[in-house]
Amino acid sequence: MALRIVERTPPDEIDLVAGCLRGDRSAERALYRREYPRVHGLVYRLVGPTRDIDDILQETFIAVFRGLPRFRGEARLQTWIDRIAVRAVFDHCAARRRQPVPVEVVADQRDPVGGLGERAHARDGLRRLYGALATLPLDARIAFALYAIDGRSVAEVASITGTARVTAKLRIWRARRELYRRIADDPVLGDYLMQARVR
Amino acid sequence: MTARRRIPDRIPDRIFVDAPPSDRSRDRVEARVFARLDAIRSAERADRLSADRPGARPWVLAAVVAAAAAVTLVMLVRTDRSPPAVTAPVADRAASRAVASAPPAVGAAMIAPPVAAPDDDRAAPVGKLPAVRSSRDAFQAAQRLEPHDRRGAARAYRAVASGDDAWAALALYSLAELEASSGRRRDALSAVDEYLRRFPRGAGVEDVLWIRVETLRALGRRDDAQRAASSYLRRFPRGTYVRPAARVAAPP
Repeated sequence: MALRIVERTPPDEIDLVAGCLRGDRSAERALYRREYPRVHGLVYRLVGPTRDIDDILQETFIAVFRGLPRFRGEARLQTWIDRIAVRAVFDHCAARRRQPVPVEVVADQRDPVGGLGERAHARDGLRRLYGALATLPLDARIAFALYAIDGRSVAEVASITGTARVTAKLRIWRARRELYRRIADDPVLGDYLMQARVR
Repeated sequence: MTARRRIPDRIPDRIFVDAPPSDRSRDRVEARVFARLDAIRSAERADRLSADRPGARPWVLAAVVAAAAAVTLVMLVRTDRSPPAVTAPVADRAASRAVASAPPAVGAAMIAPPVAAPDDDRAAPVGKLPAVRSSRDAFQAAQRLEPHDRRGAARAYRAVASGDDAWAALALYSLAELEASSGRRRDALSAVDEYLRRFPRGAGVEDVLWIRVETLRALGRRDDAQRAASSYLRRFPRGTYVRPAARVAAPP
């Protein structure tokens, strides 16, 4: 028999959700401000540097506030919101099928990488990575980004994307296999990814 | 022999050019989210109220009954295999009129064409009843158009905006935002002006006023932008865009 782990919702989250359900605007704003940085990070890692992030975040939070009456508290609020964010990314990418906007035109970037040359290299690598990911099937792309870039476990990827673990694993593997093909034709992307091992 | 290059299992953040969200971006999304939520909620309230309004339900009933009568007549005609009868189209038109003249409270439900396409060549051709869509359906259809057909979406928003319910306000707000982001600034300004004229107390007034400031600036009309920013500050002294509005309103 499969065990189902039910994560308990902490009391402060319950209060916050209850406030939102009462239509308390300050509770809604508190929830938004608490979740925004994390959801922004998740969406950024899924779609890369693109101006569409604000649109996706907007859709995500509207869906969150409109869906809160259906939140039963069986999972952590964060997990539930992550699922909505991934759904929003999926819908957005499926509707637009757009290439990510080159990272250079996106404002407000803080760059943790060292010197100018290194930074330029990282940006170029990042652009190529998301360019390569954009050519993958959407489900494989999202599974790979959740696993390899956002650092989730296979179980989490499966839970967030609503699939079985084996399906999630297969999608990650397919994306990785496709990236190997791309590396063969794109040494810059290869160098960029290899840095992850030597650093 | 060269070793095979291996993609790391994880691509850690330290090689990742990460982008922490700026306060500006957070505030911008926050303003949009809550303006849209307010508009959607007030539109839904209006929909519910009009659905509960006395007198609304009999119209829906009348439309459904007329449509059912049309179906029955058409089926009778087809069973008889008689030559094209005038009764079917007349009944059809009557049903159409009933549906078309129903008040907006027909609302959330979409009345589907009740007549199926004929499967017999000899049957009389039967026109489909026009589908009556609620403002909400039309608004959502416009939203779905936005990603791939901005001009089509603008037309659809304009159609919804021609009504006088809360969805019209939301459509005008969305139209202003769409036109501004598409670079059609004069159209954006006219949508903004129409919104402010028709819905001076609407949920999106704050955002619409700010769209006006930004659009005027983009058009190079500095004095107008300055006046619009001052007007925004007077109306929303603690609003979301106070800081940028103060910068625009300040004398050069």
